Amino acid sequence: MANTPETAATADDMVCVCFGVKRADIVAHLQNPQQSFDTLVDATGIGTKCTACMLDVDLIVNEVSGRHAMVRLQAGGLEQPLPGPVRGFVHPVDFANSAPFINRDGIRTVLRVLNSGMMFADSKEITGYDYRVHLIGDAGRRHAVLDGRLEARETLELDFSEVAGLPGDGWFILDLRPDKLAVVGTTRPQILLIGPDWAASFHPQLQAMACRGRAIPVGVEGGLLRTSVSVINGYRRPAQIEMSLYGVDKPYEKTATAELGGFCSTLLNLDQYFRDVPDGQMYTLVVRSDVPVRKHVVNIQANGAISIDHFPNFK
Amino acid sequence: MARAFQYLSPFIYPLFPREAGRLMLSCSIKNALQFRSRPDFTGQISVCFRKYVNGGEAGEERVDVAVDRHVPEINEFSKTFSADGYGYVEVEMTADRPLFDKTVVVQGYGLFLRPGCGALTFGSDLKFARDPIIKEIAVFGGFSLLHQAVLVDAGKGIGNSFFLVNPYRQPVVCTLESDLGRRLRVKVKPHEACVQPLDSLVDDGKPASVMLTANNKVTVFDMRHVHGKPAALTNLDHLDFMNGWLTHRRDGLQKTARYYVRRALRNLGISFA
Repeated sequence: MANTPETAATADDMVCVCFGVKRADIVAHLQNPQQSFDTLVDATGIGTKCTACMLDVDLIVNEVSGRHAMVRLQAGGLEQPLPGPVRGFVHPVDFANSAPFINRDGIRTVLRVLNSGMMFADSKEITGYDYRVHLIGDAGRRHAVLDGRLEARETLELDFSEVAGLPGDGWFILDLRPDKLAVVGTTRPQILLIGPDWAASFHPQLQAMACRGRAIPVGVEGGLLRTSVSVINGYRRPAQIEMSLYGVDKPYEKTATAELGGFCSTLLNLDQYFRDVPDGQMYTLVVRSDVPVRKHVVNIQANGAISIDHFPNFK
Repeated sequence: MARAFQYLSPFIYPLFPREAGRLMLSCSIKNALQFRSRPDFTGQISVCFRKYVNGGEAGEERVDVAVDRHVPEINEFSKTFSADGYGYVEVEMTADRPLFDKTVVVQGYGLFLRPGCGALTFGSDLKFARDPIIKEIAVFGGFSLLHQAVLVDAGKGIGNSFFLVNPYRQPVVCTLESDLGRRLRVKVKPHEACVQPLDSLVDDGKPASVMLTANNKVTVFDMRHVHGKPAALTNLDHLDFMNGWLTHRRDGLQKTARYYVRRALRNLGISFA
């Protein structure tokens, strides 16, 4: 393991070789309340040639002023033309994300959204959002709607176990509605599953990208797949699910089917659908449906720990 | 003639010590041929697996697959790897002449099989940066990744580390900073992989965000493991880069109307599609 402690910096350290700017020059400049990072760049040219020093400059600026320097250099996504036809209507991008939740056996599901990453927190190009979370039980009944605000530079944290009456399994959909045209930055929700003695994180996925067919690898050990597939049906009509398991190296092919009601979610335990799968090779699981659904692969380990990942968004 | 490349960006898969388990990955020639620019390709596709352990090269294996009018002799195959320490596997696919219409394709998934425990499914990383990452480095002067759901809870035995992989020939200096303002620097030598516990960056038992900045692209996996035992893995995840998406887009009447109708239906609980 290579973990070097932070190297002690000295005032004589050359930070920008292109323009001969030392650490002491930067600190002295920024300690003057009349000066700023902008005036430092104007006075010295630091960071404007090869840019190799920008990370060090950012660290020094952050140490002295508590702010990040890099935001000044952003070229501004907002200066680019909006995607889409030139003559058209401007509307928010559909950022509704969905994922399963688990609220049983001492397992908590915590949703977190940071708006935006620390490096971009000073940016004028990030914006606040109204959010709405629908919490839906696996049987398709909406149990709760959580509304609120996610301001720029803030973190949204929702622990679903604190919602009264929530069933043990289900799914949620998070709608983020931006206040104004801005750059999304790193605002991508993440889910923290917290078990009695383990934790896992995974990403919800854009509900608008639900699809009818995707594949993912699965493994077998001791004849057990120990894997479930989480399927979310955001449509009112029921979905017919077809799961096919293929051997990657040796011939093996089996197919199983299931039905999922409208607005319902389920965890399909592959060991109940595919028994006595031979060890010793990798398998590809293909999940197809007649209605676009969202899919996550859920590995349940022998010690009870859960690991989740989403199916690929693209074929 | 359409632009064509002879290679696809290599995939990077993490490797953990043998006692932790083994890595299993599949390689689909059939899928790779989706990205061909020649409609009538007959030739050879080679897949090279380079294993790096403890900072050094630990073996190379090559599989050649003949393709006859874009039908490969083997559609797909899998490989299993284990190691005597921390490392990574670089999987590179090349053709015997320019073939692919792009170099950066969909990420591959891998399995980490823990003896007696089961498998972990995870997505690999690409060695070469996608366009948004290149733009991020150009615009901000550095590479950045974020994880918003870090959790260390020593009392419950929950550990959280980042697994940093430098598949390049120059060292990468990374700074990890939490939203509590705590920071540490890690230098990852060329071709090295290392585990960086996050205990010192976050408060015990409280979810937090950790941002990584670096002077170059670096591959990072979020590892959940038994506290103090990084080899006892329970989950692998990726971090997020600054994607630079805009919050709004411009569309014609039909798509704009579809957005607002879909939103209204969700609000009313009539449809969640």
